[in-house]
Amino acid sequence: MIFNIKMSEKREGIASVSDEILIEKVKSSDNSAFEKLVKKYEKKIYNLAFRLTGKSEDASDILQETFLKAYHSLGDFRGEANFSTWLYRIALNIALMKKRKEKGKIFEPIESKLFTPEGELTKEIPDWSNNPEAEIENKELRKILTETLSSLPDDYRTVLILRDIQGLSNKEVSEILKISIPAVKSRLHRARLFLRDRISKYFA
Amino acid sequence: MVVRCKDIFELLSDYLDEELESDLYTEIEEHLEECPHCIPFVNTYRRTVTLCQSIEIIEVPGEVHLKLWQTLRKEIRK
Repeated sequence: MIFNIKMSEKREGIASVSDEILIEKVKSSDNSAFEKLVKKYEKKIYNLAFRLTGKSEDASDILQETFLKAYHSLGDFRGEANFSTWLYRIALNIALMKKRKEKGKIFEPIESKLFTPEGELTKEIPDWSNNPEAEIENKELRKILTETLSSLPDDYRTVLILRDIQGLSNKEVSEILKISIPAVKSRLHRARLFLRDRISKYFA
Repeated sequence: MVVRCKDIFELLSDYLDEELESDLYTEIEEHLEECPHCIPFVNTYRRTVTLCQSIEIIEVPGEVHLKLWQTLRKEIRK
């Protein structure tokens, strides 16, 4: 069955015209413009790095390396992508390289057999959605959520962080990761199913 | 089209993200009103997404911010 899916992108874009102006200023040796770019994206990149690595120290290293790399490579930035997309790519590459160096990990797909419609819809899972403990304020649940997020394979975790935590659109994520929008959606769906499965075990 | 449980499973992410054609919403909602399999599935999936979206965006710790700016300013002055 083929569905006609409308690619409405309702979320606010992360790029702005002012980035282009700031980049031109940096290229003309106005370093204060680079500082403005850092101020604008510092928190987003730190959060991305922190959620990817789970460690403040690693996130700090990734944050520094990202902006150093951006500063030195800005001359090569041609504006084919938004600056934010370009910066996220740098940060992701640094973060994933760091993780792979530490763990020697490569792409690990989530076992799709775990999440078939038949399997998920016939599972005896209690409807915990109205449980008063199903709140982010529940420390134990938040811990499970964070741990489960850490146990997701990088490719799925990255999409979930960018979409659900950082609030980027499917289009923005597809540009950052250089994958198709259907691939973004598929990874996001699997990642959400994976998390739901783990949270359901907590309430079982 | 007639929406079946299998379709709900495949479309759920797009449904929650409001990325479907409007006529599909009505069909999905009609299905969800009475399907005993899909109701708990959709409710818990939706809650999972809400929980993920509630994960806080943290502030950059003071020492991390300071270290970043010290490094960058040193580099920029070179």
